[in-house]
Amino acid sequence: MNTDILIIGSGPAGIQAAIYAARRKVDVIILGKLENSSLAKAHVENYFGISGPIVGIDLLRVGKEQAEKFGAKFIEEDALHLERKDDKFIVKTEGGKEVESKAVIFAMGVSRKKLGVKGEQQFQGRGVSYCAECDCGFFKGKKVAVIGDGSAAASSAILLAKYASKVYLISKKLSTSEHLQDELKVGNIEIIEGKRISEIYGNSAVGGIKLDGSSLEVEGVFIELGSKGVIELAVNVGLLPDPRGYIHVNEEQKTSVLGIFACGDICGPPLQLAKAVGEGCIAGIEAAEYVKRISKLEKQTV
Amino acid sequence: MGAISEKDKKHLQKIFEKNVQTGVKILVFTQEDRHREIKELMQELATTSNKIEVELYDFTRDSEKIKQYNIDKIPAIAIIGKEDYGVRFYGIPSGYEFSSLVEDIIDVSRGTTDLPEKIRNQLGSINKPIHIQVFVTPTCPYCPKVVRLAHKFAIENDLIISDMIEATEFPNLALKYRVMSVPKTVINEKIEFVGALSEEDFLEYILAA
Repeated sequence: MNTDILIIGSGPAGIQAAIYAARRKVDVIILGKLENSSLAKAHVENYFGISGPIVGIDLLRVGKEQAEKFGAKFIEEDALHLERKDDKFIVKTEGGKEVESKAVIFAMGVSRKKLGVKGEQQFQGRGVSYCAECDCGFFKGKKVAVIGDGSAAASSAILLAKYASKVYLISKKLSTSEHLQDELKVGNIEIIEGKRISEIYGNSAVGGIKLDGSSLEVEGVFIELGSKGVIELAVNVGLLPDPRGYIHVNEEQKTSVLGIFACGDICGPPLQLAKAVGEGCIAGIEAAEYVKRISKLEKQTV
Repeated sequence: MGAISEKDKKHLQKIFEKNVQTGVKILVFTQEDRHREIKELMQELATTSNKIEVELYDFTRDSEKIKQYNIDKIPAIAIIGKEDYGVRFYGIPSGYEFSSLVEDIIDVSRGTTDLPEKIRNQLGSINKPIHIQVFVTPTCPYCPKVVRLAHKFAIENDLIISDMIEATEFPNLALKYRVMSVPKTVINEKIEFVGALSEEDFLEYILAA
């Protein structure tokens, strides 16, 4: 699949960027799930033009229709991997799709990474991990648990199954693509749905977790909430977020990597709807200008 | 040969041409018939700039050099500029860590870093030996940030020595320091932390060591 601009994240920043870019007659694909935006469950009453509180998901749905009307295409899947190929970017989605794009707009927001249960902080670095890619090698032949409901948890479980003797994928309700669900059908992965983790216990390192009162012995607990975070997607193209996880941009919402723009919460506080929309507008306009400029150059050289 | 693609070599040529100031030596410590991969990688890297030179040393035969540069395990790399700033890599700097190596070469060639003046001043006040060990894996996107900071600190203060250690290549060390998550940093054998920190927070730990 080819496009001019690929937007990762379908919150207010991403959708606003899609609206502005699509109106400038460039091809736009936007990735993500509306209900995963931090706006979805928020009650908005501090946004210009809205008098009473309005539920975020309603705003998002209207925004999606608007963007589609102008020609943007939505793919309701998470991005799992991003890389550069020559002058283009390639994104792999959880559904196994590959999208090739001339420019990319990062608009995936900031997601909660911590679970907030007893023992989580105490055992961080001693069995509790937030990065399966980083730490999978330390759990060869051991039993581990992966906690999460989305594509990050599923893809981490698939990776860990190559190292660990047993992987328990623990989720309230697993919500991911069929493609990933097929890949989860490995002998040493066991999916436990509908149970709540209440504690991570152990002595000097993780010994197990408590699930609705019963104990499950594991030596590793991988907390992988939501979709892949900005760092996992960004580093492959040479973009390093600051220690707080935010991406630096200039006044045109350009990052330090040519062809990559960013907008919304991912660029740092204030984490507000109005700021996200404003930055989305600039990112959409600038990305469209960028794509037109390089397309013109390509034609001249041909 | 072929550890670095032609396209990457061209890219490296460009950035080294633009950024490397004085000559840099990459000292590679290995054992004769082992560690071919790291030797090839460094030799190919050196072909991208006439200011970068590789010297190969054998862990058993070149005991004088081993002692001079305080190398206690192999494979090891020391990046030397006008002086030895204490920048070390243990294990192959592959995957995400290759970028740390490239940026370190540039900083070492200049003998200085882009750390803010306030941090540099604080580093200057450290007057006892500091040994920083940063455990990494090649697939860890958070790790280069910590490795780079540790190496920058080493460049700015002669008393600081900073090692990148590829945890999967040194499983005994990973076990000794109970490394189960990377990046894991150990300072002077007594302070340790997991994860990436800001310059200020990392420095706090060093000052407390």
